Amino acid sequence: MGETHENLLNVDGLVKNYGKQRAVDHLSFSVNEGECYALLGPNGAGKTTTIEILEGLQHRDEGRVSIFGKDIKQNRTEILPHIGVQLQETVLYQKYTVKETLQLFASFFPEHVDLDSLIAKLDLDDVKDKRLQKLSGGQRQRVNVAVALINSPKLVFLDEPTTGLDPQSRRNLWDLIKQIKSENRSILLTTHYLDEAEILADRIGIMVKGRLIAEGSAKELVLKYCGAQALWFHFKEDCGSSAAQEDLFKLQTELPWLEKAKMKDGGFIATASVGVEAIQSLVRCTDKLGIKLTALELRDSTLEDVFLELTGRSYNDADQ
Amino acid sequence: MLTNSFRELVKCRVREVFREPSAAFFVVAVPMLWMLILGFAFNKNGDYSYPIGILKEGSVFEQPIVIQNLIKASENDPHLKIFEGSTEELAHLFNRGTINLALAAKDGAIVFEFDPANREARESRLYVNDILQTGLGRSDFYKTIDQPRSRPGDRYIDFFIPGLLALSILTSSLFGTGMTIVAFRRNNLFKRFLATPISTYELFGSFIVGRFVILALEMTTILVFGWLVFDFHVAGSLLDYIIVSLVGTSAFTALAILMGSRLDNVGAYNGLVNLVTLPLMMLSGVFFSLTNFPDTLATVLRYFPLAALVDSLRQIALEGVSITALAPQLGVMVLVTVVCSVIGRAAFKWY
Ligand SMILES: Nc1ncnc2c1ncn2[C@@H]1O[C@H](COP(=O)(O)OP(=O)(O)OP(=O)(O)O)[C@@H](O)[C@H]1O
Ligand SMILES: [Mg+2]
Repeated sequence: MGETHENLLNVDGLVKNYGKQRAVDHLSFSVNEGECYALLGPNGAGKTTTIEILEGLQHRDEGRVSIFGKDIKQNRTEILPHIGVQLQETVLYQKYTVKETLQLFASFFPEHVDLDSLIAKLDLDDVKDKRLQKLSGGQRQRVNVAVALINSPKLVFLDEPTTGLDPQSRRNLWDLIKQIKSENRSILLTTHYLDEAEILADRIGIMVKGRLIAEGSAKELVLKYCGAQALWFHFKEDCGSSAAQEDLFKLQTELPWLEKAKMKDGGFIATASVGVEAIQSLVRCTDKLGIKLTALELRDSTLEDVFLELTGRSYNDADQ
Repeated sequence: MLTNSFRELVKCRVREVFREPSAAFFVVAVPMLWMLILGFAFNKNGDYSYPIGILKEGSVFEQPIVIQNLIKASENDPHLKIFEGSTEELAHLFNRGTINLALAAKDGAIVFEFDPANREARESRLYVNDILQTGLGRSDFYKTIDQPRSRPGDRYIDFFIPGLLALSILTSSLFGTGMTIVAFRRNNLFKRFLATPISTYELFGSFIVGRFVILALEMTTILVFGWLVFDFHVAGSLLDYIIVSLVGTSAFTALAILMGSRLDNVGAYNGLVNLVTLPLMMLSGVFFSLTNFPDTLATVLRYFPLAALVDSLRQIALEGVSITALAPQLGVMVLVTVVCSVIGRAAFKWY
């Protein structure tokens, strides 16, 4: 650790066990100044556990965690005023209005942002004098995020901040996160929305069973694991049928790039380094072998495909 | 300690009570209800009675003359309540507590039947015996005069009001503070607090000081209501009375923090409170004086925190004792505050 801590947050070999179960398994990553880092992973992957260890809320079994170049365990009082925390599950004080809640939390910090402008940023103007018990789920979630930003933190931990938000509120929160980034502050985010990670995160870490199995920007991940584009095609029968499997097998002997074809949406999908060439070769080959294609599409690869590639399962049904 | 965060936390505790109508109800209405019930049940000035049963055999004229005298005397004696009946009927009245003494003539004597352990039954026996004997001409050797005395301070209600205040402090601290702690933990709110720079002592302190504001409400209710309805007065210094109440509130709030330090289940906490309050109430002389217990036990019980609070409040209110004489009791309560806070903090589960 040098004088300048370019890495605002550094995690090295982090391990956390719940009894016999290992929730976090030798996890290492870092977040730089002005960077938004997203942890992606199925339910139970260990994202919340990781974040809560970093926030100093949970005990760790092994590994090093440094924030602003200091260990959170020994330097809580120095670090806490400069981080923002939004927990995945908190029920704030229900009898308090939005404004009162912010006043309460503001009082905990040596310095805090202007409450009215924070309220405005999270579109809470209309409900600022309402008690939390009278708010909708999405409004409450926005209060949670507002509380996390109250001390103008250098590093913000947001654990599924957009869960339960309507599309408009999500987009507003995205803008807010971008603004935080532009102020050279950093964000560690977890989310279940791949598009969100793609839009917001400078780097993404994919976590499965407590381990980081891939890391990079969305573009890097896509290129590395899927290729920029993928060819999706459909035979007469759905991909699960033996006829379709046989057809695929025949094609694979001719076209080696189909080796890694995966089932998707009733058809198959395979990475194509040069899309047009792949289409031409596939069409030629099916013609030759007398296989009938009912659909053919060139798709831009997404994180969804990365996820499929890495875990063999699509993101939404990958619960552990 | 008067930081901005501390002030906001205390505000939060106070608002909680005023925004929860049922909580305010318990703090204000329940003590008034207790006072009304117990005040009137035990405060019947001169309105006492001796309910006795007489074994009825045949007509009135077949009863011995002493019993005929007694029945006649009861017509002019408002305190004497006579029930006549067969052996079975009297047994029934005994069982229901309607009578506490039965008499029957047997072989030229009057047989008194009663439970010697029951003080009221013994009184009935003495009273009736007096009437019987004087009716037959017994006269006292030495002249005695009964002088009725009823001054505020001597009535049961005067004894009860300080106990009620103590009880109210106990239950509202244990329920009010403890329930909040348990609910906060369940809602992950403490976890959220843990991720801010506030200190544990600030948080605990806010629970105690927040309670003081509620105490003001409880005290005002009990003192004003007691004064208006029962003409209750604090004989000693009101300031002493307030200080002792503050110390008591600290002790029981600290106890609540300790009791709620690990639970996240409201039902379990409820059970724990009952487990603790019931013996404390029974063994602390809230309703009846500790002198009813054997001496050695009473000496030990006097140092229970609730007993210490009840005792000091009573001494100030009834006897005008000054706070300096109450050092041992105050010491007990301060000790409870410190010990419970320290253990509570060490044991405290944040989530
Ligand atoms: N307090 C706990 N005691 C025991 N096991 C726990 C505890 N908290 C979490 N776990 C386990 O640790 C694993 C990781 O949980 P964690 O909450 O970190 O997952 P997550 O990635 O945040 O999931 P989600 O997307 O559902 O929020 C899970 O298998 C979970 O069952
Ligand atoms: Mg989680």
